[in-house]
Amino acid sequence: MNADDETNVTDIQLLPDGRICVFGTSEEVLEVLDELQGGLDPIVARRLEASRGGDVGEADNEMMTNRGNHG
Amino acid sequence: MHSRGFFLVGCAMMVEVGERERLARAERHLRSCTLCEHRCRVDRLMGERGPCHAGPTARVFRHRVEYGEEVELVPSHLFYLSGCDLRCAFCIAEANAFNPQIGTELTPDFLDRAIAWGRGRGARNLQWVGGEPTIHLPAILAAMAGCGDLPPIVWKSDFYGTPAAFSLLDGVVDVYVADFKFGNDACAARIAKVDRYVATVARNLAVAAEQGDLIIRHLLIPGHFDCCYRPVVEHLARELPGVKFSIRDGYLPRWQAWHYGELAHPLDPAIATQARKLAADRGLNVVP
Repeated sequence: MNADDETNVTDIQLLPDGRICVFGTSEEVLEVLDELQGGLDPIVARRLEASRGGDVGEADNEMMTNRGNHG
Repeated sequence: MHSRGFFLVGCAMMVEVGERERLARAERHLRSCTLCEHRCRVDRLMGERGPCHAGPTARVFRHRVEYGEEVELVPSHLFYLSGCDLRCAFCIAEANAFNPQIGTELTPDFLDRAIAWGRGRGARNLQWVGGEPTIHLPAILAAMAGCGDLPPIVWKSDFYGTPAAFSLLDGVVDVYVADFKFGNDACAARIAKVDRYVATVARNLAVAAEQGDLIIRHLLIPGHFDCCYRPVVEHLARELPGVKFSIRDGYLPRWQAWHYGELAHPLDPAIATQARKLAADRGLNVVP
């Protein structure tokens, strides 16, 4: 499927204080983030669960990952 | 058995007539556009352009299966349409959001193939985003009408549409995702160049809550806690208690944010903590 090349780009910015901002998160990017953070980020973990068809109930809301300025 | 078969055929015909009527109503906006609250009434078919600059064609500048949305939506297949009725200085989509000439033309064939592609990658739904999809309602409805098997539809919008636009969405959208960006009209006018913002969004939120599932997002903007975030929280606590509320704390200075002093910096993480505490104190249903 050809939308355009940008379809496959994930935009990641690392802030000086260590926060990671991600725009356009794929499953593979989630896996990289999960590995980088030793599986400790509940937001990333919950989304990975969702991608594998697991429970998507309550989760902590502490990380800023994937929370870009949409629109 | 016979009457049951007849009933089913009758239903299908009614649906078809209803959808034709919906498409006809949408297409009338191409002759005199009142899809958003700019209500510019331009004839888009004759080459006139309003504040969004959109013509009759909708274009997809990106589509992909994403995992950064609210957890209940992922994996979500996002279709990014170019063109917008707002002019948010901090828009992360930057030029793509504001030039409706960018991207691949949205047609039933394109959408059908894209949906199959997304399904193959596990997408649970199709999410229209922008720019702003509302300005492209005629093309979106036509494309969807030409597709055989649609997944659940998510409508992510700035909620600056008119009642006529929301009427066109009724029965088509499963989940609305509303960007409630500003808590007062002065900030909306200064940063996004729109008038009567708060009353418009508040009206549309009430309508959407009746028409489907609703998630309200707020992107925390540096320097706008008391003027924007707090009034949004107070409004939701008062008018839509229990509605799903998504706090986005990944603000980055992009696009023209550099021209606005307070917008030229990332968000202080302490503000995000403060925002979550306020939402919890006011009893809001914050979703991950």
